[in-house]
Amino acid sequence: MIVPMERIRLIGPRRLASRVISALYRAEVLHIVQPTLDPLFPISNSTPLSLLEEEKTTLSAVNKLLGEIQLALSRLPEIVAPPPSLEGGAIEAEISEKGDEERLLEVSKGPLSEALTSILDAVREEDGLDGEIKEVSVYLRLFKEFQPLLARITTLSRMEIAGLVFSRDHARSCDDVEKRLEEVTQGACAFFRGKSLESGILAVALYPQSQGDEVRKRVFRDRVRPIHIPERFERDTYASTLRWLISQENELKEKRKEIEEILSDLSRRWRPALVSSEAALHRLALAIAAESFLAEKEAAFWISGWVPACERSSLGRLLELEFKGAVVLYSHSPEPDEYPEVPVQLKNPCWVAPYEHLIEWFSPPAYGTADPSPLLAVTIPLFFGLILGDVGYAAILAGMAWLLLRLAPRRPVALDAARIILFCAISSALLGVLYGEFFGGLWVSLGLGEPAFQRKEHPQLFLVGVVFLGAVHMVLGNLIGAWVEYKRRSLRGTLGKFCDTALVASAAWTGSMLLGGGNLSPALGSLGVAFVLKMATSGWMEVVLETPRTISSIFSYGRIMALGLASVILADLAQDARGMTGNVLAGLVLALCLHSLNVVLGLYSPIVQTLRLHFVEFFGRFYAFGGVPYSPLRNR
Amino acid sequence: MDWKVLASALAIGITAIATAYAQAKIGAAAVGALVEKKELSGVMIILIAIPETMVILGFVVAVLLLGR
Repeated sequence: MIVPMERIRLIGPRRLASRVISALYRAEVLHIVQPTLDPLFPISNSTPLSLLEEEKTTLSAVNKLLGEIQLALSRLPEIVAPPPSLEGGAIEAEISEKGDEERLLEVSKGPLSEALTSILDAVREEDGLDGEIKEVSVYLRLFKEFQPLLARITTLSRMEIAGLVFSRDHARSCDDVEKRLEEVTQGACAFFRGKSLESGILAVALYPQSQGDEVRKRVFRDRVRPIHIPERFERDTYASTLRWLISQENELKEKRKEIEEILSDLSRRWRPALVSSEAALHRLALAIAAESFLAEKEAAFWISGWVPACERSSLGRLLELEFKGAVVLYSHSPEPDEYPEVPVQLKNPCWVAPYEHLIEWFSPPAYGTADPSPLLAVTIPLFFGLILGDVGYAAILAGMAWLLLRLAPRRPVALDAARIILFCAISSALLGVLYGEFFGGLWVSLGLGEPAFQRKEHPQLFLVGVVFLGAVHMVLGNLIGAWVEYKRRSLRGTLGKFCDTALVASAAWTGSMLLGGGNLSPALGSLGVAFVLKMATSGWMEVVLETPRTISSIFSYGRIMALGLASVILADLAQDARGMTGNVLAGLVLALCLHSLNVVLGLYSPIVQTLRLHFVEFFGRFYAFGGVPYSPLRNR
Repeated sequence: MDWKVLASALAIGITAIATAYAQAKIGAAAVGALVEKKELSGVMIILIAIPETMVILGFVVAVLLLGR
């Protein structure tokens, strides 16, 4: 159901503006709109409110502090439960009673500010150490690869050392570089080749510093990109450089451990105070920023927005209680010409609410039209069951729903998805009993009783049934469309939808007679009458365009039969696996693979095709996209 | 030769090729669009499912032909 909304306008003295905004944040019901979008704005002679200099400064300070606190919180380790006696806990208890603005002072000047500075210093130091550790470990890896050099290189004094990487496809370049290096330096060099790794072949070249330019120019050219060891890492000998890098890495890791301990300690002491301060500052920032949604005239301000009609009186009471009549609330129900601006909130019972997510994939229905969620709650499981219709697969689906709830018990989306899967599983199980299917033909093999309707034995009857069901679905869509047009006070639109209903019903009748081989004459007569009525209300052009669309839409429901048959044939194939392979074990493996494939297809195809039938065929009859999602002022 | 079997095979085969071609084109475009706008995922799933109508109707025709 689309919740009825009321437009409200709040008028009060300018000095109370920020307090009113804070109260509205607490009320969490007002969907605020820019004053310039209100139809009264042009005639009100008011101007959109601009922030005072002081408010701008406060907002900028709050945003800066929020950024710092969020960075600090993202880097502080999580703690289970802080001991209340710690300094931060005491301060938190002391300031939790204070207002948001007093908290700002506390965070920017009090002990909390000092704690925040310490945390950010530690975070910066940790980042610096991480960078250094990464750099040292890169060169250490390179040096460790060439440990045999320790014995052969006695000094790095006045020598330049370059690490080289050759791709595996260019192993010959390695020989070429070695040869040219000997030529250029006239033998005053050393070239060491490492193991061939996945990343390529590592090599180290040593040559006199005085010949560095010549080597780079004549040996390396553009083909080889040397990795130079930074000067600060270079020691007198290769061995001492390696030793220094190892000790440096250990030292840096030790330092990092110390910083981690400092951060853990700071987290234990200050995390709760920082979390609540972040929430308070966030509220403050939102309240100041929301003032840009106000309009002012002389010493008064006004706010325009929408609230659910059922919340209007409670909002009025809250404002009366807090401002003792200084802030006045006007409200009225929207007129049809205001509908495009009205935000849409959907409200449904718990068994329907999960289907609202499917509508949210697109956009909410426009205000003043219909919410299809209750219908989806019936037709989606029904179509799904008609396609899958197998007791065994239904049990697997139910297991998946249970698993989803176990893995993500606190996530509302997971709960809703599990509910939809469960409803679909129930429907599949019930229709599986009707079809007599348990992992395909196992139902009959196990002697579980004679099926009421075997769809693979009567595909044509099944096709006629689903096409008829599709026609009923579309007739329902057209009737809802007629109701929506009636609510919009469009007589022509309402009549047009009724004619569409007649057209769909007669087309379905004709189609059923064609497929089922019944008497065609009355069906064709009704189709002719529907044509004439549609032409009278919508004109011949629309009839020409609408008729093929209607017929193809009705036959589109044939996919229920097609997918259902494909599913049952695949399941039967899995049952025959043993006979096909002639080996029990191989047959079991093949059957398992085919059943798994069927479960995956059985999950994907019915969901996508059922949604397609709804979004393309069904919604096309009445659904009006473009609803504005209801988004009230709230702290989070 | 049983012409019904050949006709059924053609009904499935040609529509399957057409569906595969259309889905390949739509799928590639959908991935490109999703990189830019992740919130289009719902619409894209439906768009990818639209060409399946061809092969599904081909299957229906094949079943009807074989059942006659």
